[in-house]
Amino acid sequence: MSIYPTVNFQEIQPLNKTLDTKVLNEDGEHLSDQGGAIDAPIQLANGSNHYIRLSAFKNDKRIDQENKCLLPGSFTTTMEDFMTLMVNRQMPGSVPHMHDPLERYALPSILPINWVFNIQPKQNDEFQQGIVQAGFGRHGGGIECYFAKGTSLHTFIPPPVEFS
Amino acid sequence: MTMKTQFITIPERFSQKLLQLPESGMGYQIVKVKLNSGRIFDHLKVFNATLLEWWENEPINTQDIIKLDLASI
Repeated sequence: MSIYPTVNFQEIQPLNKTLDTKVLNEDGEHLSDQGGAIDAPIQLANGSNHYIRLSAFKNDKRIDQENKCLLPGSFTTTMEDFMTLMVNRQMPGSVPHMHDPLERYALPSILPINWVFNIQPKQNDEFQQGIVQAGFGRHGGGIECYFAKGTSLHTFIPPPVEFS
Repeated sequence: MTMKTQFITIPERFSQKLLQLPESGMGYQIVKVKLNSGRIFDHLKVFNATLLEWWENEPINTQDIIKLDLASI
C-alpha cells in the first residue's frame, strides 16, 4: 500500500460528471429515462445503418486501419445525430449543444474535432445506444453508441473526412 | 481551483494497454496514474490512448509512470 495519499484530480479540477444528471431535449423536457449507451440494452446492427466517430486525430487509434474496423470498447454517434449536428451548424443562432460536437457529446477535450470516420457495422454486430449525459461542464444530449465488441472487419469506410 | 494543463505523450506500452480497454467516451479515457515515487493521480484524462492531460506546473518524466489503469467511477 502506498504511503502517499492519492491525489484525486476531481478535487482539484472537478469533472462535473454526474451519473444521475437529467438531460434536457430540445423542448427543454427532461429525458429522465434516457441513460448513456453503456446502460442501454444490447441491440444488433442491421448492416445498413452508418455510424460516425468524431475525432481530433486523423490517426484515431480506435480505428483499426489495417482491418478497417472499430476496436472493442469504442464509441460513435449515429449518422442521424451527426447530420443533426451538421444541419444546425448552418443555422445561425442555434444553441451550442446543437452544433458543437464538444458540447453535444460532452467531450472533455479542448482539442477541436477535426475528423469524421464513417463506420457501417455488419448485420448482427452488437452495440448499445443511449443519450450522452452532461459532464465536464458540457451539455451532452447527443446520441452515443457503444460497441463493446467493436465491429466486424471492413466496416470502416475510408478515408477519414475533415470535419468543418 | 482550475489549473492550466498540458498534454504529454505516454509511453507506448501504456497506449497499447489503453487500446485493450474500453473508452470512457468518444475519444477519451479517464485513468489513474501511479508514479515511481509512489504518488497516485486519479481521474486524469487520456486522449487517443496517447495524450495524457497533465498539470502545466507539475513536472513529470513520463518514464516515472509505473502504472496506468482506467479510473474507477
